[in-house]
Amino acid sequence: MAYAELFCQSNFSFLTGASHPQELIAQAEFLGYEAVAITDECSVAGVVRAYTEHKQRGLSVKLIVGSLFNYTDELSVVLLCPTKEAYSELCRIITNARRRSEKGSYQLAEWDLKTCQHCLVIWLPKGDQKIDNQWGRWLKRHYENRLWIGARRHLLANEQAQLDHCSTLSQQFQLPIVACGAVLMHEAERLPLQHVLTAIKLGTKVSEVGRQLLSNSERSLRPINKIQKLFPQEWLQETLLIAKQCAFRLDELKYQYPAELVPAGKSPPDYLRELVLKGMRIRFAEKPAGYFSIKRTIVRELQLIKELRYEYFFLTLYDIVQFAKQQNILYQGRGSAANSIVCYCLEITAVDPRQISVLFERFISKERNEPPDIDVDFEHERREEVIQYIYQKYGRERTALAATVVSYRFKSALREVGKAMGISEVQLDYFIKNINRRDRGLDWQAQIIELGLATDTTFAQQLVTLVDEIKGFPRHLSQHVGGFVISAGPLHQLVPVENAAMNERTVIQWDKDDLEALELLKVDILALGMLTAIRKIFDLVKAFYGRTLSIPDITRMQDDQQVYGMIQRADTVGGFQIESRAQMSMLPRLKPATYYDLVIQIAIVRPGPIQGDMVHPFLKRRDGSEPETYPSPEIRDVLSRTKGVPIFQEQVIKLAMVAAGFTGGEADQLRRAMASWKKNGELLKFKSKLISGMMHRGYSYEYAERIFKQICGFGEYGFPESHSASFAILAYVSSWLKFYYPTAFYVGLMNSWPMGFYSPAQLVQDAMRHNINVLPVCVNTSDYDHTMQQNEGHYAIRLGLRQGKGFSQEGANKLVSQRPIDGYQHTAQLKQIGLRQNELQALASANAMQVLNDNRYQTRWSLMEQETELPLFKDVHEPTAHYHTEPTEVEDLLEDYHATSLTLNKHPMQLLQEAQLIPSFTSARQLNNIRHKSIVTVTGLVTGRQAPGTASGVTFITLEDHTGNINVIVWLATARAQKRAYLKAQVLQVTGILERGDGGVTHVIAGKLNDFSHVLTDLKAKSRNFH
Amino acid sequence: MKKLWLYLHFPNLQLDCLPSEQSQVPTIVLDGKRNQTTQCNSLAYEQGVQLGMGLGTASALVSNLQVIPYNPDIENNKINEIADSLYQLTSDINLQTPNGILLRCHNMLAFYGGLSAYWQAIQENLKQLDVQYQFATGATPFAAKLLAKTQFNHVTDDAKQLKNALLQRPLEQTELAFKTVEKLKRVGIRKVAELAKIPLSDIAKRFDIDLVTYMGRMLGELHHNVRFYHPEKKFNRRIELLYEIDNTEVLIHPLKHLLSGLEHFLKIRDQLTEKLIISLQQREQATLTFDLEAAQGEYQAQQWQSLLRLKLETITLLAPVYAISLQTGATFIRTPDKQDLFAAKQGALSEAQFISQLQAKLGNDNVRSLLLNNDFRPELSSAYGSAHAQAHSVAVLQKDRPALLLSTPEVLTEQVTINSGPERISFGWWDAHPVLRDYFIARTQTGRWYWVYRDQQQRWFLHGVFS
Repeated sequence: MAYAELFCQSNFSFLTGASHPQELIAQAEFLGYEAVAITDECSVAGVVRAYTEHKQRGLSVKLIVGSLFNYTDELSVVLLCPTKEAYSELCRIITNARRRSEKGSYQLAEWDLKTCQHCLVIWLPKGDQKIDNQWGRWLKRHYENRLWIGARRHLLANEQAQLDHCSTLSQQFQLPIVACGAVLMHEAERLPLQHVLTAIKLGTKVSEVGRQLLSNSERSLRPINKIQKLFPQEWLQETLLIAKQCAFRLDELKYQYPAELVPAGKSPPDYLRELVLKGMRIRFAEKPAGYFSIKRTIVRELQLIKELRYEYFFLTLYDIVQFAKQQNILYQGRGSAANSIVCYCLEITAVDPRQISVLFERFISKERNEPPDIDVDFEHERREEVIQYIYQKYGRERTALAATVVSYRFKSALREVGKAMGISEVQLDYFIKNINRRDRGLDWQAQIIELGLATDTTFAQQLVTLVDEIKGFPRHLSQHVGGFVISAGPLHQLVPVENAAMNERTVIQWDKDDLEALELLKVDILALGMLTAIRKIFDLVKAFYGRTLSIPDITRMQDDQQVYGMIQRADTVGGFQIESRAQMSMLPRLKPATYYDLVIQIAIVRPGPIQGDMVHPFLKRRDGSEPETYPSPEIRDVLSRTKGVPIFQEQVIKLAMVAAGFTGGEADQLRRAMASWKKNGELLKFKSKLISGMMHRGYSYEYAERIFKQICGFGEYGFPESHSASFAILAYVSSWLKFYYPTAFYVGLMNSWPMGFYSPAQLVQDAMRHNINVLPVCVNTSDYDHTMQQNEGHYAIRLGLRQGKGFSQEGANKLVSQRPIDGYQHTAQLKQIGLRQNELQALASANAMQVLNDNRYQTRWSLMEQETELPLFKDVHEPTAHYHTEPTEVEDLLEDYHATSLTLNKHPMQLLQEAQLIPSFTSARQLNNIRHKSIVTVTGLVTGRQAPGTASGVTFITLEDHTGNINVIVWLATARAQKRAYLKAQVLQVTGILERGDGGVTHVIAGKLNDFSHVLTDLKAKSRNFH
Repeated sequence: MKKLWLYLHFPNLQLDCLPSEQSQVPTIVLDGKRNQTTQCNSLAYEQGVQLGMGLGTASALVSNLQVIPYNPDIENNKINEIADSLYQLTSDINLQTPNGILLRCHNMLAFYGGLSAYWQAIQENLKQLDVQYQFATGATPFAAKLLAKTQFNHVTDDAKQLKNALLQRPLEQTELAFKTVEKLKRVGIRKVAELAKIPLSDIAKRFDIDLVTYMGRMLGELHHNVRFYHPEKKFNRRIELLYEIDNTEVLIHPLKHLLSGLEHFLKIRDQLTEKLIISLQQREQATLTFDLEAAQGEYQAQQWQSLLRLKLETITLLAPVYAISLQTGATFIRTPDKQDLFAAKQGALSEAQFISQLQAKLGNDNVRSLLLNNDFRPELSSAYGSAHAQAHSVAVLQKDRPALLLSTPEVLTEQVTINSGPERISFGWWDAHPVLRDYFIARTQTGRWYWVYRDQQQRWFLHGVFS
């Protein structure tokens, strides 16, 4: 006897379904069902996952798409899709219902149901005579031949009466009855989790929900022989009848591109070719060497595009970047397809092909059968303009953002499950905070009883199981950062569209993995702070030096050794991707001297390669102290560019194919397993295949194992070469600008803040160390933005009014526009320009009125006076008769930090030293003269704490004094023994051993830590804490 | 007569309410909403915990830290207790919740013969209450409060000394709003002295009226109206237990303590009460509350104790108790008993009184009330509760349930034919009574309708009978 389950909800019915869609379909297969329908409530968000599982494992159970709807309290129906038209209809209904309502809920209208012409309908009667009679009539009228009554058997009290009621309705309205499960979990063992989900949904504890919980586990996928005993034969037959009618499969969804991209009368391949040729003539105006091979490559690329029919994808992107170009918005494409010559000619990227000729996987891989991967970064301040352009051009109907599924991670899982199990929130918080700081080696489960979270082992066991089960469960849909789906016809024929949390934004119900599985294309419109900065720097260079620059202009000049010299000295504060602490300590060792070196630099200084132990071998081989050996020519091809050490994701893929015989598809799965957030458990599945494949081709077991270990180390951190290449462009350009136009560089960066690794305070410090004068905020000479001004024969940085906390752009406009020619002469004048009281105070605190009165306390005092705001008192000056306080140097300093987060006067450390409030110490600059391995004492402001999870419990602390930055390394034991100073100090004294590594990189290994924060209690300089 | 006020500040009031053993362990009171430590004991302080610290930092510093969530009710209760106690010594008391008490001294000094005698009496009283406190006198309420909060810890009527001390105080500890204090700091004004130097009119032009009023009142230039406390009419006390108690017999001891406090309270007011309301706070369970009714007004602890003992025997604790509170119902002045010995009282007993009497006569096991529980497990869906407990109704009664449920299921011995079912119940995995059974309605050969079930081991039981 066969059976098809037609009513089944996954965990995409949030906080109701207790199994993943993949689990449901796998179990249905295992139980031998003919078919299973995934019918989440007003949603098809989960179907693609079931579809993917189906495809990957070659399952034979049929997957049916449908959805459950509740209309008021009186009507519940399940709609199923037999055909593509029915599916489009369903998507339309879901879209309307969700768009009508706010995010997370839906509102069905009778009209939606009335206009449903193709779906099959299973009616779930309520059990009330009057209501069911009324709706029975209505449904019969509208769905004559495609309506069934759904009967459920969950072994509840008084079930027979319910079944009798269904029979009565069936006779009354002449409708067939179909057996259905109303399934909420794939196996009975999930009942506790389902109960917990209900408790979370209701916001109570499981023990207090009572009879709103399921009374048993019958709402799971049950074995057929059991189902047979529960339902009469005819009702089971109906399930097969319905299943047979449902032939729709998700891969029938064909993606139609918007037609307006191609002008009338031309075909897509022709039009693309035309654009590429046009671009070629511009890009390669002076025919470079190798021009002929470039042309040949273009032909090959166009051929491949035509074969795979991806013209529209490139045309869509072309259209978008043309808009950006016209609006003077900087952008950069990145990704393997982006590094093609076609893209260079279409101006999607600015990467000169000669520079990237060494790049490895340069285009779409036909074998991998994967859509082209291109992300486009735009200036972060202007990305919204590009997004609006897309919405305007294609209309709300045809474009929407891809979704991101926000799911339970460990902390949220523990918190919610813990609450449902009755543990108090304070206790849970305490537990979570404590396990964070502990050795990550110790399992959290072992610590439950130890930390008092559970008092007996059964409870602890239950807690652990539930938390593990719920991890990865979806909580709600959110909008993707910038992935747009654009289609020819209304999107809601393909996939339902809902409201996003942001105003005026709509989101489809599928995420990027779902889109990829169904081969639907999305275009990624992302934001990058550095692009904003670069454009601003270009504008400044033009305004102050009269020179017009663009990114291709700079890259065309090829590798400038002076710039690389600066990079090798790790003078890279503000440089894109190469400015972090870790990067700066590696630069003197890796010593990049060419573009490709930068590409490697960016990819190698990441947890992945560090964890996989690739950095040291690479360095050694580069220096020649270790020989480069390759077990075969195939491997040499893949790894010689990186001295035999796999660094890039593409290399791993290629190795798997070339050395272990993976097919394109399998290599792709490997890439997904590496790139996803799953644990290394997924990767282990590939271990035997990889090792046996390699051994089969003659490689030694040790070599194969070593390669596998490096792949595991990659995990989710392995960086694609193609992205690294695009980043390297910006790294180079930003460094070039820093070298040649440093003043403009700092000003541009600070005007684009927030972005990058450093705060304006640190950028200002770096500028001053480069002998650039920095002039304070001033009501008579500053604009809102930071700018450049002539000072002592050079350009200096004039800080802008934006640096004053609490000062707005409008305020700045008012100040500047009403500024008299000779500037403001009295504080009273400032009160009359219409600024708000707090903005005036902000200016005074920032000492912006220094020119008027250098006692800022007095300035503030006089500004507070409310009388002179009245016109009658306009000419009364300086009402400060009774006020006599003046700030001390330290108070001035504190005010500086409070008001602007930085100071141009003496550094706090210098003040402290002069006031003899702290014992003597070695300054950052003096460290260069100290011998390796000597004992040294340093003191400074803590400006950074980094505890990268991979290094064995070590923390990197950055101390800042008036001469520079000091790198301190604190080992776990030291941190534990001196917790107070380690955690809390804002001014820290460290006594330890100085170590100087290769390339001159200096660290202090901490021994004794002393907290001196009490000497500067109010200091507001914030320290960025990373954990 | 020169005005003089005395302020008592209790910085660790909630901590003080905990049993004394708590001081052996580093402990903090945490305000969960703002994630700040508001009270901490000396052990925690020694290890570096400071007021205002967040939970993460504090627990990182002290590995065996005990964290108590802040509960304003506990402090409120204690403050009232302290005020009530001090009321016997001094008449003008003002409660500065959550943790301060203001006393107006100058009109009491005559009774004590001077300030030092007065202060000595207060100190003795406070010693008995076993709370930590800081103290100061002052010419005005705000002055006394500021000095006390900044640990002046002197009692004197020397106006000059008090004034000098006051001027040195930082503005942060005053009652001024945080924003105002910040604003003053930003013009270099940090201490009371600096602010006092500036004429009120200049201040008025720059700050809101609250600052002017506050300064005026603190320095004595403006009048400060203070309302005084009237002791509660009803007794309401709470104690935290040393250790959790899960045996009702053991509960007698802390309750005796409360009852003697009650006796004292009623005696000094010359009052009686007929009803006591006792609440037992339990872990992970709703608070268990029950009433004790006496047939006539009582105040003596002894009398209440016996009633209490009887009552406690009827109570089952489902979870350990960590705190107890005792309240009185209405109280009334004691009047001498003038009733005629031979006149019979008309039946004017309330339900509660009636039940108390029944219990006293029939024994407590025989007087119970029925409660409904929202639970699928038949044996837990109804329960016997204490006679006074209120039955809460459940929205929908379950279907197919027998009129008579056996208190323990019996092994099925008769032959039966199944009529309907199964109803499967799989419930209660989270507590100590998980249940997995299939229930059926069955008919015996004699025509009775049984409610039977089959358990996981395929054994059959009889659980109820239909009427």
